[in-house]
Amino acid sequence: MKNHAVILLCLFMFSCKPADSPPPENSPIRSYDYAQVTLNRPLQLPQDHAAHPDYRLEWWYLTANLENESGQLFALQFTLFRFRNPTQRNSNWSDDQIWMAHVSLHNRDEHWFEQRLARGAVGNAGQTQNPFTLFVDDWNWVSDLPETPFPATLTVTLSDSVKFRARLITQGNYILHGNSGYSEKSANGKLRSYYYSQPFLQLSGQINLHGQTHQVNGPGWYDHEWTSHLMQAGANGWDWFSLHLDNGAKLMAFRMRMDDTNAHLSGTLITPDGTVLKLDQQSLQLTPKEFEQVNNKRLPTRWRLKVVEKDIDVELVRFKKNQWNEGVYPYYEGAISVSGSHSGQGFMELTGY
Amino acid sequence: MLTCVALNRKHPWTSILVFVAIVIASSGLVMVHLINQGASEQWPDNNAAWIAPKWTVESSGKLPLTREDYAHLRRAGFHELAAFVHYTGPLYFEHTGSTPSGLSLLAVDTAALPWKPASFPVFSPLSEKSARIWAHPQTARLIEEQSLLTDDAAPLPVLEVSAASLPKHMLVMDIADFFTASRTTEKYPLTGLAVTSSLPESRQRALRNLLPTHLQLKRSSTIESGGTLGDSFKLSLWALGVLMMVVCMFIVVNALHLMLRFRLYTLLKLRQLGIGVTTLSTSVTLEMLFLGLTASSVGMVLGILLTQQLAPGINQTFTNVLETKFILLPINPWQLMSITWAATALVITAITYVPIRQLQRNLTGRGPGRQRPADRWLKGATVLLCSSALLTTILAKSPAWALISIALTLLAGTGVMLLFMPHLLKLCAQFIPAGWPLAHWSIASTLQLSKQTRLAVCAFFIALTANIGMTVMVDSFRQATDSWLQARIIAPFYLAAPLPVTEPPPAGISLFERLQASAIHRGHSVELRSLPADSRFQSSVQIEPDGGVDWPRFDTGEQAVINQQLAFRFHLSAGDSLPMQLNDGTHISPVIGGIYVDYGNPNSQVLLNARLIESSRDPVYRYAIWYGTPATLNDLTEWLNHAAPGGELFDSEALRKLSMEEFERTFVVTNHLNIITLAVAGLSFMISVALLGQQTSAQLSLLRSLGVSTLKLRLSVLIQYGTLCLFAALMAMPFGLLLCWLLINKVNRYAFHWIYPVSVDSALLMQAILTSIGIMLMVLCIPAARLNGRLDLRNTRVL
Amino acid sequence: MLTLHSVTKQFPHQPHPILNRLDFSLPQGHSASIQGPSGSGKSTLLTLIAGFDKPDSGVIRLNELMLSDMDEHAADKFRRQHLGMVFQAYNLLDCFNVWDNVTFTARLKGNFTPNYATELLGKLGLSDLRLRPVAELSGGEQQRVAIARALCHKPTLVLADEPTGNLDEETAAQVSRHLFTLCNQTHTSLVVVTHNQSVAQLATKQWQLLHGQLVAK
Repeated sequence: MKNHAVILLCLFMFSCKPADSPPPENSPIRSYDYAQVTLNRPLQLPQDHAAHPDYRLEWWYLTANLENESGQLFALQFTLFRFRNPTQRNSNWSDDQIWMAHVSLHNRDEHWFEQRLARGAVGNAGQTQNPFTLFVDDWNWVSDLPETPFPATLTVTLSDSVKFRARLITQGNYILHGNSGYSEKSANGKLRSYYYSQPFLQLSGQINLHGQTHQVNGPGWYDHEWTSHLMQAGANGWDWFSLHLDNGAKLMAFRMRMDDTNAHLSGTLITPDGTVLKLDQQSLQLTPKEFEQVNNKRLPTRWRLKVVEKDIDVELVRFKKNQWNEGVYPYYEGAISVSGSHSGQGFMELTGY
Repeated sequence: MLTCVALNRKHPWTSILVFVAIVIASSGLVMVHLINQGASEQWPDNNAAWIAPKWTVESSGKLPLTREDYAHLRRAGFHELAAFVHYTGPLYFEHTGSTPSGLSLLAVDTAALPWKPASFPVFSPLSEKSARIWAHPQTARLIEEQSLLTDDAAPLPVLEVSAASLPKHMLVMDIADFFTASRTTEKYPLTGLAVTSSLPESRQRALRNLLPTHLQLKRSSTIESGGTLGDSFKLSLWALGVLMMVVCMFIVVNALHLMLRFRLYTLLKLRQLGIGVTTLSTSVTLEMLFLGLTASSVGMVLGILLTQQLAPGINQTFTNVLETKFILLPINPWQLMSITWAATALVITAITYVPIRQLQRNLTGRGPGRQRPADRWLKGATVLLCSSALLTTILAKSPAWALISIALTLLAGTGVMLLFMPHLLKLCAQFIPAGWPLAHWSIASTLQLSKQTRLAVCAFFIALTANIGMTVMVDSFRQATDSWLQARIIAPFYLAAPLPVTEPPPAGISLFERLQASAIHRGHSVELRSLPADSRFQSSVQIEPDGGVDWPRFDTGEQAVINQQLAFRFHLSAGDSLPMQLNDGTHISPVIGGIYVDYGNPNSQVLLNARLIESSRDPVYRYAIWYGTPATLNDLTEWLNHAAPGGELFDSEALRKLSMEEFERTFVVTNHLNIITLAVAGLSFMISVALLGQQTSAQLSLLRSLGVSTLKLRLSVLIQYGTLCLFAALMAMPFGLLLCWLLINKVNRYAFHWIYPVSVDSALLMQAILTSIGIMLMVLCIPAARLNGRLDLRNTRVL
Repeated sequence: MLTLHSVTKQFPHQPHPILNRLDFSLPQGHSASIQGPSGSGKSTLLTLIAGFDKPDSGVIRLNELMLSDMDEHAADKFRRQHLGMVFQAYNLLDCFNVWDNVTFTARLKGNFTPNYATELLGKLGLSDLRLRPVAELSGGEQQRVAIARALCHKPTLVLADEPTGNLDEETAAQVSRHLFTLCNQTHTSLVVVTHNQSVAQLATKQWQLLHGQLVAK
């Protein structure tokens, strides 16, 4: 399961100035203003494609492994984050929502990353339902339909020389993680979120780089998650992987690194016939094999992943060394290749290093 | 390569000279880069962009600028826009109800500002910290942690002191925090949308096409932003660094010429043994590159160490002179290394081109090239440089172009010196009678020597011209400052009080208050100072045109006088109107009666009648005090003890002394840099002399054989080089004065917007020249003293 | 009269003295040529006579002057006043013209007379080249200038070290004739070190330097 909220919260704790550290667990602000993630409120689609403004954190997260006509690879990420900040609720200018978008595009040699921030209710960022739209300034995700994110067109301009436009088409069902979308992040269940994915995406479109147009296509992975629950103390960060295997299977693996206990592993395997299998400490093995120095940090960029009962034993290798996103909350996010018992491609996210 | 190494052992001094010069140049450049980086951190570009943006979208007056307009433009792709409001209403202290006048409030959409690590202000989506307003430390002291309200009694957030990068008397806050309670966009419409990054032509056009009719794109008429002082300081540092580099380049070229001259014989032998010209010239080039890269690495390390050592002192200078901090940022040595290596490799490749070509010609027996074309080339280059220098001087309208004109003037001066030196020497030789055979020989051989030591002389010339220029400039500034202080500090005492002095002074004591406030003129912040309606004050202000101020009209507030800085920034002159908005929202528009000098002030300033600024004055209480019969100094101090408790009394002499001491401290670094540059040029000259001594030993042996004593010979050699230095110095004088003029009337004019008269103290000038020549002669004593008294009858080597 | 008595000179790291109890005398106004194989000590001999160096033992005297006992100041004075030198490599002052070169020694000594200098130039066929820079002269012309300079201050003794070494045969013959004739005419003693037999034969007496000793030929 993917846990961008946790990522951001961890990063917020570890990388922000002390003055901006979150209040402790028992802070009154923490608990009373935000909606809770509970089993009593099940995840329902298509309603839950929309924003959940009462929850503290939310994101719509797209990653894609694209290729042009001559086999040149591109790694694309588009994410819209929503934060709720009750201290802002009395403003006449904006509401208590803050929107943040990240766009990252890699080819073998270059990396473009941009971040946009905006306050809610001003009119230049948000999520609408008819049609379903996610937007910040001129970055637009526009669905053909109301209330549902796909099929859609995504257009982003990073500078005069870098633009892309892609069609996003689904080729399978949405996957609800955990217990019908109620997703636990830690062994004690304190940390949790509502979380679902659409791993069967196909993207096709154009990337304009320095005046040259590349027709690209490839598989994409979409996550939507929302939560109000902060990290417990002792969590250092996590490593997350999404894999598109060549046999049609999809796999998500997640490793939460803890201070005083072993890392907590979880994941989801979607077999080619569409069966969804929950993975846990017993069924999933995830081991870092090689480290590299990236942005003055020592990061594990080569991994071994095993799902014993399904005879999956693969090596995950980063597409290129520096896939660092330097935003308000910096993290490592980039494409990987899969080899071993299965082959394929995917994405990797590393936080808290 | 092995031969090159062996040759280095035989003539190590040329390699040492190259090494030392590159170490000095590299360390200088690294220091300049680190200091500017540390200074830049205090003047972040994005601050300048949104506090005083170059471009703004504003209402054209028909309809207000709305939040919807803002969202529409950002959705259209103009993400460099950030909405802001200039609150111009009054501010009140919540508990006392009084007004901290002179404060302005800027509310900006901080989420829209370009983000980079350690940018200001910090925007953190997950922060649950309550809203804040930020202010400069001095402004924060005015507020003293009291809560503020706007005019509808709506409270403002808690004050947080920022880094010293905000303008004084300005409060900054997020726009979402501003529009709370009764503050709405209807009541306080948006002032504008600041363009927070550069806006190229094409983007300007696209934005204009998109704007609805009630909005317009406006360009600020101010030329600079709050970062002017920082830009000027950075520019000055870079100028000094580049000057040092130019001198070092001359030294390197000189050393390379000497090196190749001494190796030519060996290289010819190698050629005869069958080693190709390309191989030989490539080996020399590679040797120079290796030397250069090694030296630049050492220079880089030295530069880092020196900057670290000097950081506290640099910070002190920044704090005292520029009112900001210097912070040495984390150093990335690999990044610095790659920059210095790249620069060194580029420079060495460029400057070795001509000497290597000459070497190749020598090795292939084509000879060094005819003399006449080289002279023609020099004449042509000098004419071109002189024309370019003249043109850029006339057309320079910015500090960068002014520096370019200075560089061209220096190079043109070098060309003129090289052209005229032989003629001067010939003229001089004619005046030395042949009846003084040794002196006659000294001068006659100096002409020959001048050709061999051209590059060393050029380095000395440039260093001396810069020395003269800087010395006269600093001295002119000193004299101008001193006379200005003498004129302006007219009262025997000055009082800085924490509160207004309301108690009437006793007989014999008179107080004149000086009010201060600030205003906005064409988007630019202006200091306002009152000038009492008293002839003593009026005559203390040095105004141009003289007699142009109609003092009666000044006293009624119809006229004001402005400082040079304001006049130059906005091309204002006497008779122009000066519309300004005061902090309390009122507008005034006095007519400019004259322009006064205000040396050292980076800000624009207006002197006007106190009544114009009474309502918007700063809570700053300054008084000029006279006392006389029947009051004594004791009476004055006693009265002040209860009339102005906590006040500080300044003796005007002490004030003048303090000001001049500050002045001297400011120019300490410049003086040191001058000496270093001169010393480096001297080092180059010395090593040239030492190396050429080996070549000229045949002539010296001959003179010894003819009965000239060793002492006289050494004196003759000193006369030779002394003559070269003297003529270089004589020619450096006019160019040094020209350089001074350029520094004042172009660089200072466009960087700081004020000028002062060039004042040449001939004694100081002679002192500078004689000191430089003296230093050179002292330096030259070393190789002269080492002249070999031994004679070699069979001096058969011919180069 | 130039007298050398029992002059010995040995350099460090050499097994034997280069000049070994050498005796020599030359009456005033006479000329002597000294020949010998390379490294036999001919230049060393001239160096000692010129006062550039001191012998390890022995006496060198020119008339009343004890050349072997001079300090540096005295040696400089001796060279200014009594000695003229002609070198193989011409060794002219290349920043001067012919006239300035020729008159240099006389001006140093203080007995410059323009007529005498002009006369010397005339005798050496240099009158038309008076104002020419010396760098523009041929080898023979330069050597003639050197000879004029060596004689302009009316020295007691002229030492010439391979004066024709850089010249072709014809020019060598011409220059050497000038040298010997002028010295003879001015009653100046002349010691010439040379490899050239034709030049050597022009001297009043010929010597061979062998094994540190001068042997009359």
